[in-house]
Amino acid sequence: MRALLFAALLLPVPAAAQDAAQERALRRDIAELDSRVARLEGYREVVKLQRAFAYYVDRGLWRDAATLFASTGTLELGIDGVYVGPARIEEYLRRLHGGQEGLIYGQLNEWVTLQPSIAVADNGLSATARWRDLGMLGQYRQHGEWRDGIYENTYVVEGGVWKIASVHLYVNFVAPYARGWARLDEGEGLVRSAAAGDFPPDMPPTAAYAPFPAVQVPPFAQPNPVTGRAVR
Amino acid sequence: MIKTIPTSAHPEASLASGPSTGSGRASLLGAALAVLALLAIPIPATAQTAQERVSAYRERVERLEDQVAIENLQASFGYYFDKGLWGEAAALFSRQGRFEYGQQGIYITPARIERAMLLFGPEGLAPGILNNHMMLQSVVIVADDGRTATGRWQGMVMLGQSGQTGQWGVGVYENTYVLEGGVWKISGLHFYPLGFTDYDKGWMQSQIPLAGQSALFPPDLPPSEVYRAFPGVYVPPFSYPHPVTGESMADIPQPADDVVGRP
Repeated sequence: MRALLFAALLLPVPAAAQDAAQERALRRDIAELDSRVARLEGYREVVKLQRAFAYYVDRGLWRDAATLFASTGTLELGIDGVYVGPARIEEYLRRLHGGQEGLIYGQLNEWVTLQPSIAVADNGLSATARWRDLGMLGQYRQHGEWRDGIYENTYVVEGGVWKIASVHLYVNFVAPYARGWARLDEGEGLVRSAAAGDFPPDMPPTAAYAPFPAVQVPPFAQPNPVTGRAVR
Repeated sequence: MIKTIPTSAHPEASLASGPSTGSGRASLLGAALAVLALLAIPIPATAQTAQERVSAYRERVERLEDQVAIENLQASFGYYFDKGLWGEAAALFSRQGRFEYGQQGIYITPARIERAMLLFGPEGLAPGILNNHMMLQSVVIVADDGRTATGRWQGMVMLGQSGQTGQWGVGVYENTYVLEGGVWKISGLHFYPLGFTDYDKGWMQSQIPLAGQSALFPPDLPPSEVYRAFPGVYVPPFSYPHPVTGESMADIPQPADDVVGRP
């Protein structure tokens, strides 16, 4: 870059050619900045979408959570199967939490969403992200649970707006607060919800896995950042 | 917030290539600015366009930098508050900064805030006190002019006194920030605890009501909103519009609560 500049200044070239060379160099710089800034902004949009999803589900705002999804966006929680499109996702979320708008008195529903690893595509138009889920769930005087899980999600720009393309929560366990996760029996930590029975998914589960105490490793969309190799 | 993606609007972006290293960014921008400086003497029409575009990129990069600065600011608050470093924590507030924790009322100005924090324990805490306030899951929105910002945070809490039972807590921060003297500061910290529970009993059996206003060191203003935590299900209003629909969620309906008199 600088060498090019010096060359342009020192050589007795016609002014028009000099301008053209500088213009080309400048355009190249700007194009690269464009791509990098767009990807940084994409990272921010992804963060905002997923955290907004968690905040809305936390407080029982099913519609607001569902409208974060793209028109063919999908939601898959545990072994409940795949729900497609904002309308289906909204109804599934509602039924999963008792069928009402919002939460009811004594309902605890914290979907704490942490530890993002986000890769925005070079063209800045799509992304993948892995997140940690820490759930605090329950109903006062009836039951209380911890949930542990991993999200592997995708995002897409649709009509110029970043949206969620897919949310897939691999539930590692849902454990009663009092007994804790260490006392879970084989297979006890993950069951199909009643909502998925009454309101069947559009597609069956995309993954077969057993919860803790089995060891579960949700597939990694992103390669190891140091070796660059796929993680298996 | 609806944003168009500039990449698609500029076909030449596809020419971008080469590794992008952290150290390369500043020098690349510097080189681009150097070119502009040289071009500035004889101003061709195309160079003017380029200058405008670089200026637009600078703004976008500044907004990205602002978000990082604010996340670090809030994280610092959390780390100081955890350990009873009240002086450090209070110094993060702007001149008219406000601090509001649950139903304890509003304290205004760093000096008053620092003193109010003594209600949470002595300076530097004391042996056996746990006061962890996590700052998680941030959604930070910086105003277009880069002068103010808002942030929503998930606030898990671990409290305890050695030899007694611990407490789990959970809540939401809805904060505001301001650029004061070129430095981002907290202009309003509002923690809405949404539930505290006894560690041994858990949230199925135990709910611990929020503390009220101190008689010892009363706040400057009463709580900005009256609500109660778990088993109530209050929804802290959202500072940021819905990311896809763009609708405001600052004034969303709250569930009925006859205790606080909300129909």
